Amino acid sequence: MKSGFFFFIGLLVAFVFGWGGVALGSHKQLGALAPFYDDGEGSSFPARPQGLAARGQLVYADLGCASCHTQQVRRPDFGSDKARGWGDRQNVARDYIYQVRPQLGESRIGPDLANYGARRPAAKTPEAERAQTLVAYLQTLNTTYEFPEARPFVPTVAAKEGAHK
Amino acid sequence: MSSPSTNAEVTAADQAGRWPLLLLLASGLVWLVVSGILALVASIQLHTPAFMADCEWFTHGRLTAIAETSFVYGWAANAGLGIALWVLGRLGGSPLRALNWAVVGTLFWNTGIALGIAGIASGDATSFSLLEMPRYVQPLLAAAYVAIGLSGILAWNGRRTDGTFASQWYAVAALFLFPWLLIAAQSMLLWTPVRGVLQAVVVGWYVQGAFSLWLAPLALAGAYYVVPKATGRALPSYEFAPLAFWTLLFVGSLTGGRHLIGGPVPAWIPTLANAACCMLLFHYTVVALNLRGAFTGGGTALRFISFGLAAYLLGAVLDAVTSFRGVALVTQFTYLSTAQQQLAIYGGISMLLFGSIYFAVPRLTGQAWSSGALLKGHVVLSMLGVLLLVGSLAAAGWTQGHELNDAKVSFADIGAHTRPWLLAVSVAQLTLLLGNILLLVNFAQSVCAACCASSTGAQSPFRQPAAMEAHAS
Repeated sequence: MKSGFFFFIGLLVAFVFGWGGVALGSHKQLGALAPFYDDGEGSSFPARPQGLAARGQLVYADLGCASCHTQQVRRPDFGSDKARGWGDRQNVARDYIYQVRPQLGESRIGPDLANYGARRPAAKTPEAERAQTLVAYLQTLNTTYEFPEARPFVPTVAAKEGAHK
Repeated sequence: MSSPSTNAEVTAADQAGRWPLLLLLASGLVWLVVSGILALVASIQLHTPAFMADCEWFTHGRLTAIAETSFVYGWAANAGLGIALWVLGRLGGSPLRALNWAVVGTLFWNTGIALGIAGIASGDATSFSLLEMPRYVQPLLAAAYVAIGLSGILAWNGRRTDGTFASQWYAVAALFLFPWLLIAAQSMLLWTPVRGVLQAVVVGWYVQGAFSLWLAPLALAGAYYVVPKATGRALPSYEFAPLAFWTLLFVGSLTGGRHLIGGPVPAWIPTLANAACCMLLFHYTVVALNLRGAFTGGGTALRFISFGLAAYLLGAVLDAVTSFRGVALVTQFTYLSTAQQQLAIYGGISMLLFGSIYFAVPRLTGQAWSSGALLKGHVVLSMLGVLLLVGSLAAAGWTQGHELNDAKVSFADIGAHTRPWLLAVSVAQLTLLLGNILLLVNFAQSVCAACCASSTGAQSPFRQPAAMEAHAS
């Protein structure tokens, strides 16, 4: 501890250890995640949000809606997310790749909104322009497309028995 | 009580740093009261949603963001910096240098926070936890912090003693690392944002980093200095302190992913956080061993530090327990997470800082605190307030967590069942606010008395502590 120089080097190494491990490590893994092209449907998922909805997300963000609502459905056997009708599958990283500001949220004082649009809420068009964009945004919230990685893991009979191929 | 004095307890470092350090502490205390008012309004909105809801500036989302910002960057940062610089000046053995930079930095830092809060209120919030201030103030904040911290780094580099002390390591770490942390987080979230859920991962890392690499070291710097001074005894098990220090720095920020359990991120992120939370218990164990003398000593400073220490340790255990998936199933997304956060930053960090402030201010002003009654009032109100706040949030969260997992219980019912606890939270916020106003008044009176008395001299009202921290190593 007597050498000031090595003390500062140590501090920097400690900082880079956490930053590199968590922030850069996950960026390496997910930073280039591409949309999934479905041959059967002839389009790729997730869809890019349209202009009005994209502006609505900024309204959602600046009002701090995320302080009471999450937008992340957990897997069916973890919590009551499916039973409450919030979504049949868990959300995966690919659902959010086109969102400028994903609003995962940390608190459920109100219900989860990840599939709010898919629940087809009755739409009343409000008068204020900002409110209209917010409604447009909420109605586009739909993460029901079945990505391959979102399917629950079901071990095959062979894997269960520990067989080798 | 307020007899003017210059005395043996006031060192040359205290006299040189008096006004710059008091400016930092004063800014911190003003922000503390401001954040208390906002937190009170936000907590009322939780059980009475219509309260001030028609005013767009005070929607619940914005208010919580402003209250959090003014608490962390206004109160904890200013007060923590004041204490860290004071500790480094005293242990460095010579008066602090570059204090003009610190004063200018303080002014810009507080201007930046005020602008940032105005930005949040008028709709420019970024929606990232703890980084809600709009990006146009962020570079200013980083630069201002460097200007304040410079003085402490110079005191460390120019120290006249051979050995170094734990309080110095923690103070230097907080001064040196926070700008890196803030700039890295800004770059990855505001200037060149990473894509999709990576933003949530980076926010988790930043929030935890701000606690482990910045706020906790600032608070511990004060505690490691005050406990041996006030008890007059060397710190026990001090040889483990370096290990505890490096464990916190290396492992602390890895625990940020614990809020993403079951979320749309790779499973290794919450798993790593789980393992890191358990490893970090080593740091907390050593801190408890080192500072256990605080629990046996008397006096206001030690009373706050022992309370803060207990909260700091309890918070660590709760973090570790709730980072397991089975427990998170109930506690995630509930008021229990809020309770943990308040336990850490209010019960832990703030109470430790209060303790250091009660020890430092008389030595900076050269006078005892002006009012013993206000002081006692603050002790009682803040301890009661924290217990009530954390207890009722935890109770609300426990109810909410169990009912969320039962799909038959509607949100209206959950709201009705948590409402009594949320009323108690408002009472707690009011209690804390009153306590903090007492502290601010007492502080203002003491500083004014020092102002009037600075030209006269008299006898010391202080005893000379039997041992300094120098005996500890």
